[in-house]
Amino acid sequence: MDLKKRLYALVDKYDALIIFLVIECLALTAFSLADANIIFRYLGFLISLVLIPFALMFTSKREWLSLGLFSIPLVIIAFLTGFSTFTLSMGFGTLDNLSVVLGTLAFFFLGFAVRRVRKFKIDIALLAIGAAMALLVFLGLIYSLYQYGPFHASLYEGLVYYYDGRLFVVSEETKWLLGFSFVEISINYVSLFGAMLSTALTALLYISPKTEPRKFAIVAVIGLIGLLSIVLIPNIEALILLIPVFLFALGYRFIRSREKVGIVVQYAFFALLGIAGIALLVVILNNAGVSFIRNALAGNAFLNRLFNTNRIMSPVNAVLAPMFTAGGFFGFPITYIDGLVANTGAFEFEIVKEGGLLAFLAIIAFLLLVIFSLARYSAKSPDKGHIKIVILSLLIAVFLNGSLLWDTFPLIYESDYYFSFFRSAPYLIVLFLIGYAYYPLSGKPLIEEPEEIVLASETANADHLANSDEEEIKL
Amino acid sequence: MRKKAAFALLFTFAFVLTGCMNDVAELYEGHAYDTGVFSENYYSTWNDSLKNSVATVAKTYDVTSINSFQIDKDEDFNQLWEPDGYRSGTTEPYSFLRDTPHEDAGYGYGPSNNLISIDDAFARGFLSRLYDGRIQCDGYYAKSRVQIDGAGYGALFPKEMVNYRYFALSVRGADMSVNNNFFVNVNINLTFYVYNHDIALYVPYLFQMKNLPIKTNYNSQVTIFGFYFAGVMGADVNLLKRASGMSITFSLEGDYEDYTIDREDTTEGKEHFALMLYEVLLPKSTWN
Repeated sequence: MDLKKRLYALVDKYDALIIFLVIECLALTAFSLADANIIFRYLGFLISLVLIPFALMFTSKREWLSLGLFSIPLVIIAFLTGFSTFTLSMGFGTLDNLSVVLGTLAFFFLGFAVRRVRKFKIDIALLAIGAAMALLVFLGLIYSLYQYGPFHASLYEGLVYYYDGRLFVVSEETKWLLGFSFVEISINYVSLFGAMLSTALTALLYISPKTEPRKFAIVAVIGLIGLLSIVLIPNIEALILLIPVFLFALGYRFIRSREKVGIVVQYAFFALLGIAGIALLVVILNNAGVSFIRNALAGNAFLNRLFNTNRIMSPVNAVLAPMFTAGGFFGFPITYIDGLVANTGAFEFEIVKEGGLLAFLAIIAFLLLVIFSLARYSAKSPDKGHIKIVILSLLIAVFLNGSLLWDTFPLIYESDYYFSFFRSAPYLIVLFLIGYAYYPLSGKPLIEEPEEIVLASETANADHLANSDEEEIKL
Repeated sequence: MRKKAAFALLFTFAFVLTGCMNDVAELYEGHAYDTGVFSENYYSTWNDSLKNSVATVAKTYDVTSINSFQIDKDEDFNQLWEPDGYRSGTTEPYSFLRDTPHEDAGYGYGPSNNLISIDDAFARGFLSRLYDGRIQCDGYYAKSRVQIDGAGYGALFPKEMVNYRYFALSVRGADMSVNNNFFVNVNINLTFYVYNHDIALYVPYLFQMKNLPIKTNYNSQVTIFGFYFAGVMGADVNLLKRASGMSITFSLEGDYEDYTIDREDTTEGKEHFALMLYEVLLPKSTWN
């Protein structure tokens, strides 16, 4: 018991420092300082090690079990996006690859564990992420306006210019601070950050400008920078993708009879899930070369168009087919050039290139688990409304942008430079938020049991907590 | 505090509103000059200053076979003054054919001596095709050539030339006929312009490169013609300091009655002849 007391005392003593480190790490990652994601991944890993005692103290056995099951797909994703045929043949380097494995797990764990730190306020973390990312986006926006003027993607649509003897379409690019210099980058890449920031505006549905004018102003500025970064280009597709996000936010805020609506949404979700699941199965079997499926699709003009020959499915098929070959099972080697350059625009399929079939199945499983976890978080968590709405909106925005507009080769002048979603800063931020919003698929987290909160907050009750709570892990 | 914020906001808006908009200063519809139709792909742009604010030619220099060089293959690089024809620090001549920008730097002649690698201010604009190091037609055909008629083009450099050693031009000829592998003799007039602030005019210095045998429809092969400024200008060599513009025009040397070099000429039976410029090189020059 002495050890336990000492641990509680230690936790109480250093929690402010740990919170500072976590927020610092998140802010640096969100700002992508020096484009040094490898450093932030290792930093996140080190901080997550420090957070282990907190997690041990404030997590029940049942939660650990649930978390373990929840994390299985993420562990597979982490290892296969870190070490695979793809990453080895791309020559990313062992340190970089290892950082992906550790960083992926660490940022998720950071979110999960930091919630156990009593003094931690997610408001501050979200504001730090928002402010850092807003600064990054703002710098790019200002320089972009300086070089192109506003609305250049519309005003000069289809027009080209020459650089280094090569031809480029001006409406497809904007400026972005990468490392310590500005580069020309695809508008879809920038719009992912813009969309993430725009979701801050959803918090304004809960924050009163009269009672909390300062918070209102800061959140509004962060959100507007994000929105303006999309509007002033303008990136119409990204704007369209914001509509469902804001509709969700409005519904979440103003629909009163949530339980009734929740049931409808639940049925609709399961119906959609069923259709999507069947469609995905057909696509996979088609690419796996199952002859009767392949023949059935090829023999019907409509199905052939739907599953084979449209502009969305062609690159998806180009990516999925090689994953069933021996060489592409654990990600694509550099010789699988057709699959590698196929632009699916979706991180769910891009992972096939990087990690192969198992990683693909793992990401699908992880997405499903995250959806269920978030649904529980949304319904059960005692977090304030503006927190929940920002987290949920942000995750939806990243999901939509990442699934439809992700650009694997966003650098305009170095068009062969591969940008992995799973090595990007938004991915780490998202993992942190998923970890934070993680809710066991049954039961409540220990920290949200009222009596446990009291117990945890009072050192004097530590012995009682340790003796009486069967669910708490033995130290 | 509010004043500071307002000032910062004002500064930001001023910065944006007075933006240079460099990146949209020179835009083209679709694949400009790459339509696949010979008559549509002439580049005939003359900078207004080089049309309207030019003094009379200050000096004319004859570039002859004695004071110039002509390169068709690797071995020809030994015509260059030492050590210009050799890869840095070696006695190996540059490769004539290796001309992939960046990748072949240090090995291929074009990638090692192009203007963009000297100063990236040359990277922007259509004429960056002439500065990118692709000195020949190797599959990048339409991406690297600039097609001109006799009236040529005139352009300002993005900076002023401070130091210079020699000039080189990678070029071939083309017409619309089905004939292949022949030479056309051409006189190229190369003019450098130095801005004179006292008279507010560009002062031209003309280099007449006479009777150059231009490979025409020759499996897209090019020849590099060039000269050393000191070899041609002698004691005048410093006159080109601060040169800020250049133009190229040409005429045919000899009896070519069936040819026209005027893009507007619609005379029946006349064959249009054009020069395909691939690279303008000023190796070892410095710019300010």
